[in-house]
Amino acid sequence: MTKSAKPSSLPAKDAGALKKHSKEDITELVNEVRSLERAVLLTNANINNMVKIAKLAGDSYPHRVIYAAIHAQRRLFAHFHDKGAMIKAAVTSTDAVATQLAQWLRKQYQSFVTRLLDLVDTDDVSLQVAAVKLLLDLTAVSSADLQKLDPATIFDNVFFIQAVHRIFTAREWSTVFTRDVLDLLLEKDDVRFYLFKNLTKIIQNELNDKSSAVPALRKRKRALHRDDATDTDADPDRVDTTLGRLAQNAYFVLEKLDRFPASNDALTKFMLPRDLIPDKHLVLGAIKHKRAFTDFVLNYLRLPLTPALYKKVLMLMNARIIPNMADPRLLMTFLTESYDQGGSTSLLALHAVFTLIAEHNLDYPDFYKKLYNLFDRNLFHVKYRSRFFRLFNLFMQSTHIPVYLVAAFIKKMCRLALYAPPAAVLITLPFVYNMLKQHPQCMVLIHRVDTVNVDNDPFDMNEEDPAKARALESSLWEVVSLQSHYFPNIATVARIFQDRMTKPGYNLEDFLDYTYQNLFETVHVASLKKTPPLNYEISSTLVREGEPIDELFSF
Amino acid sequence: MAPPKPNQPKPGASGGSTLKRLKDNLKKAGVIGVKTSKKIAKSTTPARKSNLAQRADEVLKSIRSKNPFEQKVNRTKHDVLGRKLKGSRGQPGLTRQKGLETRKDALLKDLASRHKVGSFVDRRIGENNPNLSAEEKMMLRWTKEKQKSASRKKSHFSIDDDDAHGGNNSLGGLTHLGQSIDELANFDDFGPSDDEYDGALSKEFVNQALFGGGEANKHKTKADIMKELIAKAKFHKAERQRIKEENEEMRVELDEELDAIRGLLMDKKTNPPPPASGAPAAAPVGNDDDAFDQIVRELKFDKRAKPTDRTKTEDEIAAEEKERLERLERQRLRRMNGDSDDDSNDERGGGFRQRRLKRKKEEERAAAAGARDGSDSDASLGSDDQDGDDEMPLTYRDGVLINKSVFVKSRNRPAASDSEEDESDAEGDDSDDAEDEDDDGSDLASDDEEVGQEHEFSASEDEDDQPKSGKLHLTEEERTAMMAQALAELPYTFPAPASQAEFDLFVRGRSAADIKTLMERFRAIYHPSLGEGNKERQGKVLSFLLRHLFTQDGSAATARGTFDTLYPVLIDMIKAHTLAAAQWASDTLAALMSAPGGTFRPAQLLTFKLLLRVFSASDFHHAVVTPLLVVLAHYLATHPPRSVADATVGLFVVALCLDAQEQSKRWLPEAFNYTTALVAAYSTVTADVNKFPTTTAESLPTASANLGAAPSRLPLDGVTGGKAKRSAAHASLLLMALRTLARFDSLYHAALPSVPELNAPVLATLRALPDSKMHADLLTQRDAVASSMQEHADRVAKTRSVLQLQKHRPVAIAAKEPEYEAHYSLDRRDNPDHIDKEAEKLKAQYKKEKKGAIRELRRDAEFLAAARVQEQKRKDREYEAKMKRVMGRLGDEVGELNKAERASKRLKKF
Repeated sequence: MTKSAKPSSLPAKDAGALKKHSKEDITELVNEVRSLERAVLLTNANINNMVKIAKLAGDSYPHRVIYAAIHAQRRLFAHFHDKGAMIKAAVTSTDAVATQLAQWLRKQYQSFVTRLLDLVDTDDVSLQVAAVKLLLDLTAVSSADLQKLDPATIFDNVFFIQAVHRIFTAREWSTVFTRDVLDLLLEKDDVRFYLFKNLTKIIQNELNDKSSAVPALRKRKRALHRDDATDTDADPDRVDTTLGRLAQNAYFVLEKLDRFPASNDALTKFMLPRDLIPDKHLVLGAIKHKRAFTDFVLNYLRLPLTPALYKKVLMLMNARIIPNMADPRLLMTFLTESYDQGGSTSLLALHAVFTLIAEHNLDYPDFYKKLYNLFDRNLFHVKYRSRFFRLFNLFMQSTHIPVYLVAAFIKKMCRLALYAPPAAVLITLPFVYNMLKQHPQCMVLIHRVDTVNVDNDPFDMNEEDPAKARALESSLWEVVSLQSHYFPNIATVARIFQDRMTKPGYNLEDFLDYTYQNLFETVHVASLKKTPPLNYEISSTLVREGEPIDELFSF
Repeated sequence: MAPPKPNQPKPGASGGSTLKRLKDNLKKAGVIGVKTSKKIAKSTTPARKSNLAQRADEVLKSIRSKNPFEQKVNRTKHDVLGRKLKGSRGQPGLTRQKGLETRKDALLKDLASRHKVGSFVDRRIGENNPNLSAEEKMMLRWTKEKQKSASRKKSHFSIDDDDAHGGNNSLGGLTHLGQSIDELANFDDFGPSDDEYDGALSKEFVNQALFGGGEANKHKTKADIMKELIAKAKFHKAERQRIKEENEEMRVELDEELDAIRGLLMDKKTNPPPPASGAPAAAPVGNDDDAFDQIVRELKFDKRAKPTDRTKTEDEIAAEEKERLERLERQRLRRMNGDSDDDSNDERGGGFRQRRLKRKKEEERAAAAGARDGSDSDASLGSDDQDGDDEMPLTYRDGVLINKSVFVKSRNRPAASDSEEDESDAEGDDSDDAEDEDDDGSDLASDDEEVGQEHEFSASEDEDDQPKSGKLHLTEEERTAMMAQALAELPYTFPAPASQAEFDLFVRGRSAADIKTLMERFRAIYHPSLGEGNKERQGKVLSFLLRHLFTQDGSAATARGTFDTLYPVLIDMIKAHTLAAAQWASDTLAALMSAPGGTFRPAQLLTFKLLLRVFSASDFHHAVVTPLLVVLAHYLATHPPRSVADATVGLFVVALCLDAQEQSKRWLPEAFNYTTALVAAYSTVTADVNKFPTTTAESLPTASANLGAAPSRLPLDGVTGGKAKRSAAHASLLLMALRTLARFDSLYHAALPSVPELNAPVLATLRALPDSKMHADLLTQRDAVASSMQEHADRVAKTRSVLQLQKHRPVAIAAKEPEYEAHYSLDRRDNPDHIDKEAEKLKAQYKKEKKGAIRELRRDAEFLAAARVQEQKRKDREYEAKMKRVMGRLGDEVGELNKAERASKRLKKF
């Protein structure tokens, strides 16, 4: 009967739904939702209004209307739930009407949940967030129901895993959504615990489902090699598959993740009522959280990561991942594999590898040899340069490094500096200075008394083993070459090797963060006071006949 | 006075008391105890007496100085041999006496003459004698005068007197050995007489007579010297006279010769040459007077040398140029407005006046010369006035003035005023005005083509804009044509653009040549010497111009054309306003750095080239060039070549970088990386990370490259045309990259010791180029580069030696030993380290002098006091004596009186 109450208006609205709704329309529709809700609350007779409200939550309506509708539905279901009209008992009750109502309500509820899951995938952030919120809400409610039936189970994970799956695989997260959703998912300890559990499960399922995962991994490695060249943020081969989205979205979790509470007592924030959780439950153990996270990470790393994502994950290793893991050594395989890949990936893996070596007893043979081989012609050109040199400086502080190794590093760095951009040269020269001061045996590189003349540079640039590179027999002609570098500061710094080396050392931090921009600032004078000198002889034409520009180019 | 020291050497050899010793000494010296008989004593002249006294004085002095009682000796504590100490010995008695004497001479006299006033003493003869009458007095005086003049010698210095005296002397005033010859001529006392001659010449004689008297000058008396002087003066006088006479003769001769050539100088008719036989020059004939007068008159009107204008200063030249442009602009504006292109009224008037003046002068000249051809003078007149003469009849001018007065007034305003206002004024005036908007008018765009056509003409026209023939009225067509032409013509003066937008609007649609002309005019109008703030204005406009050039887009050819045309004026302006240009460059580079755009445009590249041309690129740190190099390097590092066009621009940037390093040869890794990566893109082996940084490589698609095509120069605009052409462009690109490599090689092979390491990977790449596909030119170039690089690499590897960078001169260990002064002396007060020695010395001297002065003053005062006391004592004594005398006399008198009284008493008694 109510169906026919306003039959004329709804189809008309439907027809015009795709059109842009005016403000008045929206307000009218929202009011309609409210009045429908009120009518249902007044009497069960109007229960059919719920269908109308569900309709108003459809895609064709403006977001505000949908927003109002889903919230109205949530309230109505809560109303019926509180009245006990939806519980199983009611379904199996003898009262035919009650049973019918309960079954109908449950059907409606199922469609409501489906709708919410769909809404997670809309393009409106506020609706997405609202849907996630409601889903969490419903999880809490159904968990409470579940516990009534089975006191051991406190969390309705069956329901939650659906939500998580949908949230993480639906579409790529926008910035706002990322922020809001992660606030919701990571804040409460129990939600976070089940989130990791579920994510692990989801990834495993997806990987098992899709046999394409392995080729994807191979593809990744290939891509990584290629990526060394361009090193841009633009990701040409971003995989727009479920796995790809999953990897991308789960990355945000890693990025947003804080340090877990260290002890059981620190676990205080729960979505479920604390008194309902039994004392021995998993959710209350801090180590359980870490294990859940470890499982998640290990499975996550099996996902086909795009090169950019791969590097980002590597960058998170030290700050977010390793501290939260139950046993970081489990990352060893992944990290050594990354470190062996060469290029900027190695540079990024370096820190994590080092952390494992230093703090977690990872035995890594030939660490320095590998490090030595990281020095290739691109090293000075990549943007993780300063990050690398901070670490490298740390490694070289060790007092147990043999001289030949130091000399090899020095020689190779200087050789590479010949081609390097100014910012990198400005790191190299003070570093070499510090090395020479720390290892006076290396002074032969810049000052050799036994003047055995060498026909060719004995240093072998391409030798992979620094012990065989014969760096100690060479001289640093590169430094002399750099003394005539076009950038005046470099030329000046390169002369420190010629002066008395009385300074105990340079603070490398002062040199690490140069870029073309701030180097430009050092030579640029904002407002000139002195007239800069002119050429004393200026040719009579802009381009002289026969000069290179004239010979090479036609205008 | 200090007592004599016991170890003082005794003045006398024998013992005895000091008095005895003194006596001995005096006796020995012959001061006392010389028995002189009274006779001798009497016969001695007073001169001899004084001589004796003098001798005694000397002796006494010497004795006194040796008298130990007269000496003061300061005992030295530590006696040092050979050291002389000032003030260790003194003779206080002597010093005191000396001081006393000087004081007596000076102070005592002053004291005595204190409060005294001077007076005249009449010393006239007989004046004080009251017995003499006036006549007698005069007589006495005259006699005295006569006596005086008779006895007085003649003045030594009176030449004329001497001359008059010795004028008849045949020898004149000649001297020998400073003596007048006529005096010597007596031969009275020349040499010793025969009877005196004793066989040997006296020394005196030898000196004087035989050896020319070199020594004799010493003995010349003052009189002799004066005589000599007089003789010389006379000689010179005679010489002068002789020269004068010679000159006179010469003048007469010349006068005669002048007569001979005068005919050539003068008109034959008016002045026939005088007869060659030549009457004496000093005898003018009566009728020659007229001729002379005529010559004078002619000369009067002859052209005279005019004083030339002095060389103008730069400021004046600038001011003139400005004036000229303003005048031209006024004319142009008038023409633009459809007015006829006459000179301005005042100028015309000036011309008229000038011309009239000239004519008047000519008439005068004609009158003076008598015969003169009028047409000749017309031709000789300055041509600059001529047009003014012919084309400006007064009626015409008046007519124009009456017709156009209002119009002219409204448009004649100086162009420097706001042009927009100008327009709005003119808008309503005439229908024609709508067409002749100012150059920044809104409808300029529609006129662009027209303007463009006229440009060539107008640009060259500013110098010689020919006025039209003097027609009374212009037809409508002519008027419009003239106006169009004027509109197309560039403004001669204009307000300086104050902003970039204004400037852009101002030059919009103008050709480069026009902009050049405008900038030249601008430089003249706003010459820094002509007004406050002009320098800043010029600097600003220069930066506007640079920005305009920098931002222009268009093909490379247009950009190049614009730059080439404007180059001279740009250079001049940058030279004059370097700071403004540098500031602009600096700002622009900063903007480029903070917001790097895409590929550089040709105009930008050419601007960079300009900056490198102008500024000293080889400086270690240059406010413009160094930032520019950073910008270029950054460009190369961040713009990998993705196409041939990209690579072309990149190679151009590399070429710019290398241009900058032409002299300083500094290493630019970015440029090298770019070039090598470019070559590597064509090589057959895949890029090895150990060869080149791969950041720039591999991005150039070379699959479609057709290296077999004939390479040519790279078009900066990029290759246009079909696929074949585009793939053929790769050959050109590779060739240019190879040439650039060659340039790298030639530039750095001697400058960098790392050449072997730098060249090795390049060589490998060069060898890996696909030989079979390459054009012959490419192959030859490749081979040339490769062999040269290989050679240089080998040579440097052979010649470079191991480094010895820490070869320093050893530094001495810091020693903390005491300072040792070689010639240390306690007595030397001055500190050798003291900087202001002079001041120190002066201070000490001042202190010493002050002390001395105080002492002197004290002594003076003491002396004066003593003198006064003595005076007082003397006075007292005199007074006492006087009183005694008086009292004695009074006592006598009283005694006498008493005696008389007593006698009278006695008499009375009796």
